[in-house]
This record gives sequence, structure tokens and C-alpha cells, in this order.
Amino acid sequence: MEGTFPMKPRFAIIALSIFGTGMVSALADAPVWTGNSSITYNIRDLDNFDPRSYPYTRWGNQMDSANFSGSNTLSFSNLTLMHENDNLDQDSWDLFLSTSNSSLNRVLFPGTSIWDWGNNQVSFSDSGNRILFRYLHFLAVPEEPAGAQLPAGATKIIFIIHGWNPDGNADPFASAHFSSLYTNLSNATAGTDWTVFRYDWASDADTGDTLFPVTDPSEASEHGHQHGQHLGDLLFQRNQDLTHVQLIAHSAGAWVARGAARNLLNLNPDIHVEVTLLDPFMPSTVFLNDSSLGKSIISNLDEDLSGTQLYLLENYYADEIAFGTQDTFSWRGGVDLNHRLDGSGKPAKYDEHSGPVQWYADTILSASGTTVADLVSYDLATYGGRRSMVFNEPIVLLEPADLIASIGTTAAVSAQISTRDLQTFPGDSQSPAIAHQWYKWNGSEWLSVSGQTNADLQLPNAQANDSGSYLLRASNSAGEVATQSIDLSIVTAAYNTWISGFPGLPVEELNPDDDYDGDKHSNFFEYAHSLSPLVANTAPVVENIQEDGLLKLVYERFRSDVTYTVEVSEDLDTWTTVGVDQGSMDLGPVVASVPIPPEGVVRFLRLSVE
Amino acid sequence: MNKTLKISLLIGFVAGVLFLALRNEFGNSDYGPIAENPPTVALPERQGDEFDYLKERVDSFLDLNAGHFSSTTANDLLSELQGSKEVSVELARNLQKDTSPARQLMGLFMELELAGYSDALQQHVLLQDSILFGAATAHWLYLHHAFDKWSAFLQIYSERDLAEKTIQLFSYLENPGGEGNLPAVFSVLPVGEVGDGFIKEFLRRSPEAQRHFRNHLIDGEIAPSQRNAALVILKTISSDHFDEVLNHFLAQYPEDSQSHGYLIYLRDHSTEVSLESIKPHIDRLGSQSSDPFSQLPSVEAILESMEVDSDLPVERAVLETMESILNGLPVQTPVLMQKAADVAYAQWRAPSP
Repeated sequence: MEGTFPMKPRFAIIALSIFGTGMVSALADAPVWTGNSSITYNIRDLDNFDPRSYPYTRWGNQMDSANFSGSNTLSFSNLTLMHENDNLDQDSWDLFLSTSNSSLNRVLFPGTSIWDWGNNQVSFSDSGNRILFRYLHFLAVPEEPAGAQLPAGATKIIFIIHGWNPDGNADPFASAHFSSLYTNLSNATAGTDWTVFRYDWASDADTGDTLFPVTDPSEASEHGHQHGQHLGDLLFQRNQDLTHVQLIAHSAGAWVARGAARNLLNLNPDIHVEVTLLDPFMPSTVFLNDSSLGKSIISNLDEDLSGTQLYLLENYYADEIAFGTQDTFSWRGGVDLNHRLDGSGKPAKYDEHSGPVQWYADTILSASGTTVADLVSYDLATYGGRRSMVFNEPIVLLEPADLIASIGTTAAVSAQISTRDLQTFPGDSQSPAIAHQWYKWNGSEWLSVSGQTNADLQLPNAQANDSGSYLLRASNSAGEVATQSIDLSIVTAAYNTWISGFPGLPVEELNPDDDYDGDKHSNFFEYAHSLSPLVANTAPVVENIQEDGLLKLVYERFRSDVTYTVEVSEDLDTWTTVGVDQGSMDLGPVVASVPIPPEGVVRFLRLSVE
Repeated sequence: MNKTLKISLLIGFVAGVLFLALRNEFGNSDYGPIAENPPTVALPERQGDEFDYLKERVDSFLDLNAGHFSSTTANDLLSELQGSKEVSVELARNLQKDTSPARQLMGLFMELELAGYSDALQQHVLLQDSILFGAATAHWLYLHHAFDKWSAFLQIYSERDLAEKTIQLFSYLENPGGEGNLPAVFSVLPVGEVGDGFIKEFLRRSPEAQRHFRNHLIDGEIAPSQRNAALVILKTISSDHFDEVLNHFLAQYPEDSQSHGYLIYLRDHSTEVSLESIKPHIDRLGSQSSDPFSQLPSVEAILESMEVDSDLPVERAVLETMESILNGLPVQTPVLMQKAADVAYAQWRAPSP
């Protein structure tokens, strides 16, 4: 088929102006030291939030601290990347030292430091405060815990994002609730163009295991905020054909989701984005925890993303023991969702910090048509998996087919667009309304056909100039889809009768432009010359004669509904009827002619039929 | 070696509740070169008239953007206002005459904090069109365990302008902050939201308000999430309109749909909770555990049951234990403050021994 459906520009100019020149790389995965007082991760920060009591979270992950007066030991977590003990290039190590966490002042590990990788400790002699940091781990390619990389060709992605990693798990998704979510999402999207991906930021979410005070989860949130910014830019640069992203985030992972949505849609507002927060952690909700990361930021997300293809913001939470995870957010009224999952009569398994993850996993299972008994007390048409983009984007149920219609009749082509949710739950689906628009190919681009805004194309009193290639585009707030293009041929009734007289012709070979027998003559040509579309014709249908000072073209007019025209050219490039004697206009043999050209001039004749 | 953290006790903030403040060992000064953040809005120099100074201080606070403040910012401002109480109250009353609803609300909150609830304040609130003022006042009284005044205020509040107020309620169903048109700093103040608790108590006190609520629920353009929340509220307060409204929506769905199934659940699910069902939690509270964190889930389970059945006869001794557990937590959040108030309210309602 000619051309492709028009896509909106990807804002390359904007991206260039943002990244500018002179920067190392917008997505450098390794930090860059400038002297001993500055470290740069090249995060594109659209927010410039005040880190307040957590400035050090912008430099790295604080592992330990001590006031040295001689020999002492600092500990680091098991997710630290080990360096060879004989590697003296400290810039390549995963750990570094500062004398303070209120202002960055890097000092080197003494050469006599003793590294105990079995116990994750380093011992050395020094004096004064020493804060042990680990670099933040921003990968150049998003990875799952087992190392699988995000495919660069993925166009529709569901990210599962873990939260605070207090136990230093190498795989924070190993728990039953995350396994359930991943499995159910993978099953639900099997056979579709969606990719389910578990975003691993385990090492930077590994900030310590103290629940109170909430410093450790707050640090993880600060790191998550930066990971989100990184992820948003990374997706824009790596996944050039991205159209849909759902970010499903648990707890402190909410900050990853928020940052990713913010940065990604800033670069390409045409990507459909859904943010699903599951018991999101808001550090500033805990009184006198001096963090600026709080509900006002998340509440602003709908404003920050206004004018983009933001599909849905969802907050599913439980009122359980985890502090700062019961907030609601001021989003678009009647559109976005805050929904509390626990309460009297509700399953106890949803009434814990991981409960909303399990609940969402169960709703995905339910959205695919499986009955989940634990969900009886929830309105699943309104909340949970059924509302996600994958179940509500338009999909093509019935592709349109090529059509040959007679002039003056109504040319009608049927297509059927729906959503997966509408298909599974026709009685109460809340899928957004689908808008339809038919397009016609004009030789260089697809142009919308006025008035054709239904699933079926209906062209009353069709005329020959309605012939061409058509496709249907359907869209709603969850996405858009285009059908395959079809060829519509508006022909005379006589042609229709003639072609119907060849029952051996496959249905897709009935168009005037088709050439089933492969003789380089289209069906219409064969019709015009009363040939068979089933039998390859090798005999010429015209004859050249030079006589009486004329160059003659002899042929036979078989059809009164066909226009036969002889054209002349002197260069095989420009053709004209000027100077051509077309001969008889009646059916039967015809002799068309032009004068034989003077010496040195060449003339060509051709017969066109339409 | 673990991080060394120092915990200092601060007294104050919204309700005079004790809060623990975490301070990192190395303090809180400038931050590093990674993100060249613009500084938080600069504090005005203390000069000239104290009223003007505090006014500018409050204005600066209200102008803070999301991501540039924390609850300590609010705490610092309140401490400062408390230090100049007389002038601050004058400023609070001045703010309430402003044309901006946000500044009026801030003035209301300041007056409540600095001068407390009064008849004059009540009269002022009753004259306000926005239900945010009534909700803020009721919430403040509830959090301060002033249940006599809270109940009286709600009674008066639910006797006038009911149609307008009731329709406003719908914007806040499952969305207590509404559409977020207020200053970002309200997210760290107990003001600017209309919670389910207020909506229930407002409706509970007025059959006429319930009728307006019913009419708008059936005739208005209501999102399914708002409809669900409204139905739960009508059922919780045992409104006469519950069955009629539920049947209205039930008729909109085929019987085999999930929405139909949910509405049937809502209709049939009992709002009566037996003491027997929460006995394991009550027993757990009596285990004399020294760890309030381990007992908190039981406190929450009992409160959830009381939320559904406000007449659940939980013994006073159990309520006192719950109160003790909540007060013993080394952390405070708005939700925990609400729970503490819920327990105190149950004690207030319980028959005297």
C-alpha cells in the first residue's frame, strides 16, 4: 500500500534545544566528577524541587558514616558493585567518601584501606567525619532484575516499578504479589503489541531498613524521583516508536512513575500515558519529615501533563500501617481515580502495604474474564485493570475489504472497531467513546474523507473518482488504530457484470487494477479489449500501420462505457492528444492517426483506456 | 555501622500534638551541585510594622510551589505566628475579608489555631458559599476532640443553603481535595479538603440535604466513582433513599455484568458488625505488647468496623487502650491524627461508666 499513516513529528528540534551542546550525554549512566566537590549525573530536571533535608540524595546513596579518629569501619549494602582490590582508580569504584552530607566534599579512600567484600565493609584509618556513598545506578538501557533489557523496538510498554528496597533484595519483584502482577499482565497482553517490563532500580531503592524514622524510605523516594526523570528521557531517546506507556508503581516507586511521565510527555506529548499508583509513599505526609516530596507534587501531575495524551491517573491505596501511604490526590474530577481498597468486609490480603499490588494483579486477571471471588466487593468496571489502556485502546475486530461497486450505487465498506473491555464486558464497559474517520490516499498522503465518521464507509451515488485506497482510523483517549487499507473501485455496471462472469477469479482479484493472469494487462484493460482475465494474453491488441503519410494505430472499441484515447509523444515522456485523429467513436474497428513526422523527428502512439 | 540519627522532640504544630522531628546528624544546609534548584521563596526581612511583616510571611507561604516546602515549613510559620499571637489573629481576621477563597481559608485556619473556635467565627463560616469553610471548621473541631462544639456546629451548618452545599459535595467524593485549585501548601495543613466523614455527618443531620443528595445523584452527571462513593455514604448513614437510588442504578446494567454484581453486593452487604467479629483484635490489644506498631493493625481493624457501624459497642477500656497505642506511636500523620480523633469520638459517645 502506498505510504503510511501520517504520524505527528517527534519534536526533534525541541529535544535538541533541551539537550543542547557541550553536555557529556543526556543519558550517561556513569557519574562524572568535577574536581572533588561536584558530581553530575546529567539528569534533566524539569522540577528543581527543594531537597530540603535530603540534599545528599542527589549525589548518591548514603551507606554509612562515622567520625574517624584512627581506625574505623564503614559498611555498605550487598548491592554494591565490587571493585578489584588492586584497582587504584577510585573514579571507577561504586563507592566514594565525603566529609559531609550537607555539602559534597569528596575525599579518597586511603591506600591502606582494607576491603572485606564478604561482609561488605571497608576499614581504614582517618580523622574527621567520613560519609560513605554509593553512586546512583542509572543504566543506559533499562534492565529487569535478571538482566533482560527493554527492547528498543517496544511501542507499548507496561512498566512495573517496585518501591523502597529495605532488605537489599537483588530482585525486589520476587515477592508473590509482584509475581502475580507480572504473570497476570503478561498473560493479559499475550498476542498483543504490548510489552510488560519490570523496571529495576533495586540498588538505589536500597537505602536502609529502618521504618521509623522515615528517613530511609524518604531517601529511596528522592532517588526514585531522579530515576523517573532518567527513565522518561531514556524512553524518548531509545524507544523512538513508543506510543503507549503505563507506569504501575508501588510505594516509593510512585516517584519513579511520576518523574518518568513528566519527562517523557515533556519531550513527546503524543504518547499515551497512564500512571497507576499502588499505596504510593508521600514522605512529606509524615509530620516534620523535612522532605518536599509530597501529595501536592503528585496532585499537580494532571496540570503538569495538561495538553498531553495523559490517559488516566489512578491511586489505589489501603489504610494500613505504612506511614504516608494513605494520601489522595487532587486530579481531574470525574476522570482520575482515588480509591481506598480496605475496609470492613474487604479481603484482609488487600489491607496491607503490598495489598494494592495484589489487588491490581487480581483485577488484571478479572479484566481478562476470569472470575476472582475476592473482588466481589469492588466495582471492577470503574477501578483496576479494566480501566487500563491495554483493555480500552481501540482494536480492529473486522478489517475492511476491497470493494467493487457500480457507478451511481452506494459504495459501503464495513469495519468494526472495539476495545478489549467492550468485547469482554459489553454490559458495563467504561471504555472511552471511539471516534472514527475514513481517509483516502491522494497519491502522497492520507486525507480525511468529509462526513465519513462511522465505522462503515458509505458513499451514496458513488462515482468513478471515488475509486482509490481507503483506510479507517479510530481513536479514543486510550489510543488509536488504523485498519488495513482497501481498494475501492467504482466501475460501470457493465464492468461489474463482465467481471462477475469469471467465477474462477479469486474475490481479491476483481478490481480493475488487478492482473490475476499475470499478463501485464489489468482487468480493466482486458475488459476494454474483451480479453479474459483468467488467460494470459500475448497477442497485441493494437496494430501499427504507416500509409498515406500517416502513422496509424488500429484497434477495436468493444465497450461503450470505456473511453478509448490515442495519445502521441515525441519523447515518451510528454503525451498529448493534440494532433491525433481519433477516428470513429462507434463500437468496432477504429483507426486513429497522426501525420508521419518530418526527418529527424520520432513520434510514438499509445492507446489509453479509462 | 548504622547511620547515627538524632531525634529531637518538637512540640507544637497543628493541634498541639507532640510530634517527633527527625534531624539528620549533619544538619540541613545548602545542597549540592547536582540540581541547581532555585531557592525556596525568600523570607522577608523583619522590619517595619509587625503586621505587614507577618502578612508578607503568610503571603510568601501561600505562594510556595509544590516541591518547595515540607510540613516543617508550615510548622515554622505557625510557631512564628504563635509568637505574635495578637497581631496574627488580627491578620487572620483580615485575611478572611480577602476576595481570594484561598486567603480566606488560610485566615480561617489561622484564627482557629491562634484564637480557637468562637461564635463570631461560626457566624462567619455560616455565611461562606464554599463548603470548604464548613468542612475545615468541622475538621478542626473534630481533630481537637471538641465534639460538643463539632456536633452543634454541624447541626447549625446543615440547616441552611442545603441545595448549594449538597451539590458541592459531589466534587469531593473520592477526591477530598477537589480539583486542586488551592495553594499547594494546603497539602500540609488540615484545611482545603472535604472528607467522607464530613459528608456523612452533614447528610446524617439533614433529611432535606439527603433529598438534595438523592436528586443530584439520580439527575446529575455523576462519574461512576462518585456514584459509588455516594451510595456507600447513603448506606452508611442508613438513608431512606439508599434502596431507591441503588435500584435506579441497578436497572442500568444487565444482570450478568460486574457492575450489577457490585451493586448487589453493596445492597446486601451488612453494615452491622458484631463484637464477635472483632474479638481477636480486641484480644490482641489486651496482650500488653510494648510495641505499638504490632498492635496498630488491630486498632485499625476495630476502627474500620466502627466506621461501618458507628453504634458498635466497643468497651471504654478497649477504646482507652487504642488511644494509648495511637498516642505511643513515635510518628504522626494526618491519618493517625484522624484515627486518634475517631477513638476519642467513640469515647465521647460511649455511655459513662
